[in-house]
Amino acid sequence: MSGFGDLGWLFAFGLTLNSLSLATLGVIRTRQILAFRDKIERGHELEIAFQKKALHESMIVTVTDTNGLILDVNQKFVSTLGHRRADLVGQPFRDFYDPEDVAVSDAIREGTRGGQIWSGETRILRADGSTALTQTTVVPLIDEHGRHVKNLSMRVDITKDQLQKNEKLVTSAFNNMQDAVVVHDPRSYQIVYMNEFALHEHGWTAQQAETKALWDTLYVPDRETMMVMCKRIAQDGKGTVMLENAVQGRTFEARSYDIGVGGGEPRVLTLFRDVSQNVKLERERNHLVSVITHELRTPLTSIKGALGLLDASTFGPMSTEAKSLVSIALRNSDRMLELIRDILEAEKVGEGAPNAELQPMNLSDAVESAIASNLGYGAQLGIEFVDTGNEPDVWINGNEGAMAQILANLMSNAAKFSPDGSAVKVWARAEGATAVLHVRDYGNGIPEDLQPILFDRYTQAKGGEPGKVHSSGLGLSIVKTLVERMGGTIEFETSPVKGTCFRVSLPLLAEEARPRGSMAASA
Amino acid sequence: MRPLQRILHVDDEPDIREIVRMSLSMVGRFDVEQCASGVEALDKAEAANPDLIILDVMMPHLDGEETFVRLREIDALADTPIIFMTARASSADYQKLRDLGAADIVIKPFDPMTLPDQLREIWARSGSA
Repeated sequence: MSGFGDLGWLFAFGLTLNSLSLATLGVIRTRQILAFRDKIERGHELEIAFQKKALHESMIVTVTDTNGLILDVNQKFVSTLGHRRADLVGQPFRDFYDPEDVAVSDAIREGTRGGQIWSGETRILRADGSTALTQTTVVPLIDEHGRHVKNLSMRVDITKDQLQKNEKLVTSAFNNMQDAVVVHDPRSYQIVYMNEFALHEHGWTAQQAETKALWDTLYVPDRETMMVMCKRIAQDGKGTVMLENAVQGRTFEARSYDIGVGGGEPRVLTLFRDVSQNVKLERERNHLVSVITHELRTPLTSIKGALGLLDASTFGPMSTEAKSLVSIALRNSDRMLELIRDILEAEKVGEGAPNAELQPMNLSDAVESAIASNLGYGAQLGIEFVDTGNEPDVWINGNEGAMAQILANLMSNAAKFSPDGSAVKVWARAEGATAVLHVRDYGNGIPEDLQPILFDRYTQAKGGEPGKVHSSGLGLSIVKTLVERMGGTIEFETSPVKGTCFRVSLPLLAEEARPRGSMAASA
Repeated sequence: MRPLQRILHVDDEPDIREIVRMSLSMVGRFDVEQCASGVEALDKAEAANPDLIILDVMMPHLDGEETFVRLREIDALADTPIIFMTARASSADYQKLRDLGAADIVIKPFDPMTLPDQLREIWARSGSA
């Protein structure tokens, strides 16, 4: 809280001096005050001398002229802030304000010119460059002709109070956490702080914890892994590792941060989170994926194989009815296989596997080859994939496998929502510094309620072309993830009349970054 | 160039053995010998004297990879192309099998109508033809 009081200058000055000195000497009891009053009666000189003494011993005092130039400072100023008197006198006081508070300094000067007292917190620079937070009162001094001649500022250094307040706040926050917080000295690995959660887990007191090293905690069973991380912290200021405690069967995620120099000592804060449950779930999920892969695909291999042999009339001609039944069974086993493939792909993409390597690739060629390899699929669904408008040599930094997947998913999606006999257009084009891939269908558009969740997992559209819409609801979520991994974005325009156009935008690769001879090769 | 003729197929799933047998003998017109386990394959492989071996990966007791290593120890089969057939889909799995020395990998489910041609291609590529 800061601001100007509305007291008149004269009254204010007298009162402020009195109340400040009295407040500062909080120990002074009423009787003593009364005694001072007696002294006042006996003469003002003694009181003023006392006030001055009290003021000078307890407060940082500065006298400035009306332009803010320092005329004098007291000994407390010198001892608290470390500046030499000779470096201060004659200098603008605003130069000694913390840069963030210079505006405050200017406001104080303006306000006191109008005769107002200012009080609040100000940050003043110490000689060593650090900042002192001070509780400040600035009083304009008026001469016998009523002219504003000087300013008197009185400050109390409250930096320590503030630090303690902050420390209390942080400590209380740490103690309410359900993760372990450990601060150690990176030179000796000696623990200097543990929050209550960590102390409780170890059955230690805070004092006991301070006699332990980081290795003594149950979080760090593997000294080497931790050492690797400590090196990383020294380099990058932070780091994360997984620590497995085989004895306890627990896994901890350790996130460390260099928290700079506290009290002159280097300190590293580490947050240990028990992720055993997550690791267990992850293993179960992997097992499930493996079951889906093997246990479902193996019987499907037999079903599909048997039907395939029948369908090709390997054993002689079938009746029309039998052929129709075999083709239904075959189509549905394909659906099931597609679903399995989508789930596996989504799991793989969702695992956040390290980004597939990106390298220069020709998006226009990827479009052509996707059209060629999906022609048969399009024909099955009664649509035709066309490359109208596909510009040659639109290059990006991408991954060919991921791009083939993006194209296949967008194209099959478009085909499913296209009326029989219509076209699905696929083309790449350079638009400024962006390579844009388009996949356009002439279907009935995306229903409004699905538009905001279209890229979420398991979002399935209804109302597509009858008999065509067999969707796991994973295809577009996979597309979005893959596009983002290549540094791109995806959006769509849709209308019930004009159909839908998906636009994938990726940074266009500059010509000089393309492989040599790429123009000639594709020309 | 010698055409591909004799194939040894190893898989513990009887249904898949049946489909593969029909595909290879009726569509591909190959001579097919089949085994229901890796152990049986080690027992019969030398006498069967195949041009090419197809191994399922996930089999009980002796899995495909272990069977591969043991088959390679038989002098007469040291250079016979061996193909893995697997339902596992990750590229890491494929790489592991390639590193082992597989001539190729056929992914389940396969198309029984095109499997014979696929094998002929691999056979031609392997340089054994």
